[in-house]
Order: sequence, then structure tokens, then C-alpha cells
Amino acid sequence: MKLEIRDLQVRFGPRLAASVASLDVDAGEIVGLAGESGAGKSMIIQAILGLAGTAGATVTGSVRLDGTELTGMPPARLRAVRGRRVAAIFQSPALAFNPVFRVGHVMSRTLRLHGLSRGEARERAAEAMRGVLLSPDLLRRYPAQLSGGQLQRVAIALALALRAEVLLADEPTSALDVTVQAQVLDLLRELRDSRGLAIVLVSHDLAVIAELCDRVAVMRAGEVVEQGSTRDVIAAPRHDYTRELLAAVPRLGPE
Amino acid sequence: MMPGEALLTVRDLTVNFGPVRAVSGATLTVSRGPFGMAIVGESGSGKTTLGRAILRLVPASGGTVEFDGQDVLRLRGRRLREFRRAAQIVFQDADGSLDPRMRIGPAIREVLAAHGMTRGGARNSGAADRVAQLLSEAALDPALASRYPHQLSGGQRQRAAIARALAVSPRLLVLDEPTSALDVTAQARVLDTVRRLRAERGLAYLLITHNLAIASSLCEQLAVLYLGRIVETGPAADVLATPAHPYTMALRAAVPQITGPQSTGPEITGSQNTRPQSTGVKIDPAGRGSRIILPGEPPDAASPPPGCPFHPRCPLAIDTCRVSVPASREVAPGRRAACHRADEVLAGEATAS
Repeated sequence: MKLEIRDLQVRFGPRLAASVASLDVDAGEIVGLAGESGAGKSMIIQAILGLAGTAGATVTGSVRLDGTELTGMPPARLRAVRGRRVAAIFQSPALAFNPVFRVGHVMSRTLRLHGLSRGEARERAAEAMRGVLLSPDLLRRYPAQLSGGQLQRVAIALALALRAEVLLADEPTSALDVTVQAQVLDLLRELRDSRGLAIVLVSHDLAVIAELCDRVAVMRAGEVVEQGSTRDVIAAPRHDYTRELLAAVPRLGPE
Repeated sequence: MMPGEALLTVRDLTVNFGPVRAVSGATLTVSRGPFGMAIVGESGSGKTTLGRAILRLVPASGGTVEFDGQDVLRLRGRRLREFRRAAQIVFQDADGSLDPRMRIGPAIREVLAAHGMTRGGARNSGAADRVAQLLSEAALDPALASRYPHQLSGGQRQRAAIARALAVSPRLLVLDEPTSALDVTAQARVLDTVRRLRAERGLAYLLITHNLAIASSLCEQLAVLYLGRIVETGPAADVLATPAHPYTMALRAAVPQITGPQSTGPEITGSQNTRPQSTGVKIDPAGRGSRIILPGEPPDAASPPPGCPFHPRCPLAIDTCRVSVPASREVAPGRRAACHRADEVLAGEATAS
């Protein structure tokens, strides 16, 4: 198993903010985390990244990458994993790029931090851009000169350039138009299939999850209320909250 | 006047920002409420600009806007103030319309006072009752009147913004992407509120959205906008069932959907490999593979392509499309489309060349 999560709990003082008893993500698989704002989805992502502690939370439990325990790993070793083997993209890609640097510069610098030479970094960045169907010429642009959809693709390209094995995608399309959302979702699916990427997709929209995810965990108020194959969960939701989420998806056609 | 009559008639409305044509010859009619007209399009299509030009929040460069028999673009003084009261707007970002330092109650009373709708200033008790009533109408606890905007959830803030817009009893409401910043659950509650207000108040609204599913669930008419032009209009159900423009087809295909009837019974599911076909639920039956995924993004309005503005992304484009701009024409009773191949598209016979 690529990523194994067991008894992961995130606490702020005595308060349990988010917990996942068991969640596995294999290579070439997309697993969904569904739920409303405040359900704890992003907190789980932060905990997997080893970043929840910086927000003042206490994390217990186990996150294993190819069998190696990540929780409690010394920061120096964790930094080599985070970003490189486990990459993340967020709702607002603009926050991932410093507005005063060209996106290519941000990408090169990140790649060089992870040990690539200047030439290798340049080559890797261009190749990754083609991998997300963007022209490498766009690397010369500043973030503000790219659309939201393009910038999200560049963020995904950065993960590809690092040869990430796990991609944590936290509401990656919530700020995008439906047409651009369709493109980005299609890209995630393509990367799963062609590169065997293991993807955790966080979304409040069960229709987005249904389109992409093999399995899903539905979270509410910090807890997983239901999980299973997406097909089963959507065809026969066992929890009222899942039904509520399903009913909230806007349907095409008059009601 | 009778319902069904036009409340708002927009003809050939054009908005230029310097050399950039943001809206180009838009024509649409909004009936008296209860009535919903949706303006659907991607970021940069000009849908927000169109909504604002109708309300005179940005100056129009050409065309006419008629509201209740009056020429909106020529209104001045008292009549313009009356129009501003009769036509209200709710923005995508409620934080932009609610002062962060002002509690919800005073924020609503301020609107009443500005339009001279409170006696004895904004502080009297009649105004407080009115605020409580408006908040309940928007499905909010009247106790929220004493809260600051940041103490409310995103969905609550948006409903507070709606309550504020309704304070002056408008006859037309422009809802500009009212739910794009919200979760689907919060979105569903806001949309329910709009649906109920529409029935209770007989509201007419222009709903601006990029999501065709939201548009069709709240509106009887649609106008699809691409690069500043209305490329298709007609009854929502018809446009959705049989689009006459390939862009409308693409917008429809882009909406993530869970299709089929939902199973409601406490069905016991087996192992994760069982596929409960019996419920008839299919996940994305078409599959992304057979879907139209529009390549790229809308072109820059500052340098539109020659011919049909949609042709660089259109899977059905033919030579004509690259050189000649299609005029909007009637393709069926009550339906118009601006596409050289509209008849084929409407009949479902268009294939990529």
C-alpha cells in the first residue's frame, strides 16, 4: 500500500478536531474525502503532510508511506518526503506561488532545494509543464498573468516535476469554473492512470468525488461517518449526512 | 400589469472598456416575477459586466435597457434613485457588501434609512421588527442581527446579503454568482431561500452563474454568454434537453453529475466489489472519455479571434466558422442561437469534421 493511515487523530488541546480510523490509498488510485467546511478534511491533509503541528495541533496515530512511518519523523527527514514524495495542491493555487516571482523561478527553486542541478531543474520543469498540457513558455509568466485553471495546472506540474508518488488535492477545483474544473479533474484522472499517482481528493461536492474516486470517506464534524467504494456509498448511502450531501448536488434539469 | 409581461427589456447592450468590448449587443427580456433568467458563462465571458451594466453600475456604450417602461440608461435624479431601489444586486462575495465593522442588523437598517423607509431614523423599533422579519425571510435566526459578519458562516452571510437586498422590496434582483464561494450544502440552502422568496414575494431575478445545473434549477429562461456575446437563449428546460450551440453542450457536459435515482432504503451493501446495479444508479455513465471537455480557456476579449469567437475551442467548427461571425437567429419558437451549425446541433446531427 502506498499510503496507510491508521487511528489518525488531530487535537487542539482537549478537543478532537479530526480523526480517521483507517484509510488506504494505493498507487494508481484516487480516494475521496467528502464533507462540508469544518468537517476536518483539510486538517487530515495537514496531518498527513506533518504540518498540523505548526498550527498548534497534537497529532497521534500512524501515517505510513510505503511502510515507512511519517508521524514523529524528525523534521529534517520529513522535509525530504514532504513536497518531494508527497505533494499537495490547494483550493487557491495563487497562495502556492510568490506573486513577485515568475512561476518558473518558483518551480526551479523548489526543484533545486530537492537536490537537482540548475539544468536538470529547467528540463524537469519544462517536461512537467507538458505533462499538464501547458506550454513551457508559461514558466516565464508571473502568477497574476495566468488564469486560475492554468495556475492550478502549474501547481500540479510542480508535483510531477518532483516525481511525487502521492498527491494530496485539497478542494483543487472549488475556485474554478465548471469547464476548467472538468479539465483539471480529467488531468488528475490521466495522471493516476499514466503515472500511477496515488491521489487523495478532498471535496465538498460528492459529484466531483463520484466522477473520480474509487473509494470515499465522508466526514462530518471531525469524524468519518461513512466510507467504502464510491459506487456503494452513492448508490446506497447508509448515513443521513451522506444523503444530505447527495441531495445538495445541483442537478441538471428542472426540479 | 399582468404577469408574464416584460419587466426588463435589454436590447443590443454593449459595454466597452477602452478598446475592449466586454459585452457585445446583448438582447434579453426578463418577465415580471415570479421569474428567473439565468446568464450562464465562464469567467471572463462578460456576465458580471452585463448584470452591472443593466443596473447602471458600469456605463453602457450602446443599446437600451428598459425597466418598467422607463429608459434606464437615461434616468437621472429621483427616478434613478427609485430605479436603484427597485433593482438590487447580491454579489458573489458577501464580505464585499457587508461592512466587517457593522453588525448585521444595523447593516440592514442602514439600507432602509438610505431609502427613507424608516420613520424617526434607523434606530426605531419598527426598523428592528423589519430587520427581524427580513432575516427570517432569508431563513436566518433574527438573533443574528446582533452579530458581526465574521461571526456568521459563508452561507449565512450570503443569506444576510440577500435579506439586505430585499429590505427595500426590489422588483428585480441580480444575483451575481451568489453561491460560487460556498459548499454544496450551504449552496443548496441559499438556492432554497431564493426559490422560496421567489414564490412568496413574486420576485424576478437575473441569476449569473457558470453552473448550468444551478441555472436550470432556478430559472425558466437561460442566456448563454461567450466572450461578451449571447450565443444561445431560450426556455431552460429546452436549452438543456437539446442545446442549439456547441458551447451550451460543453457547459452541460462540464457539470459533475450523479445520475440515476437515489436509493433511499436502508439497503445493506456487500463487499466493496459489489456493484449495486439494481438501484439503477450510475456514476458518470458517459464517462469522461465520451464527454466533451473544452480545451483551453476563453480567448482574450482584447483580441478576439476572427469568425465565430468560439471556433478555436469548438469541436464542431468548420471553415465558415473561422471567417464569419454567426448572427443570432431563431432556431425554434422562443429559442435563438448564434452558430452556423445550430440546426444540426439542435437536431443532434452535428459531427466533428
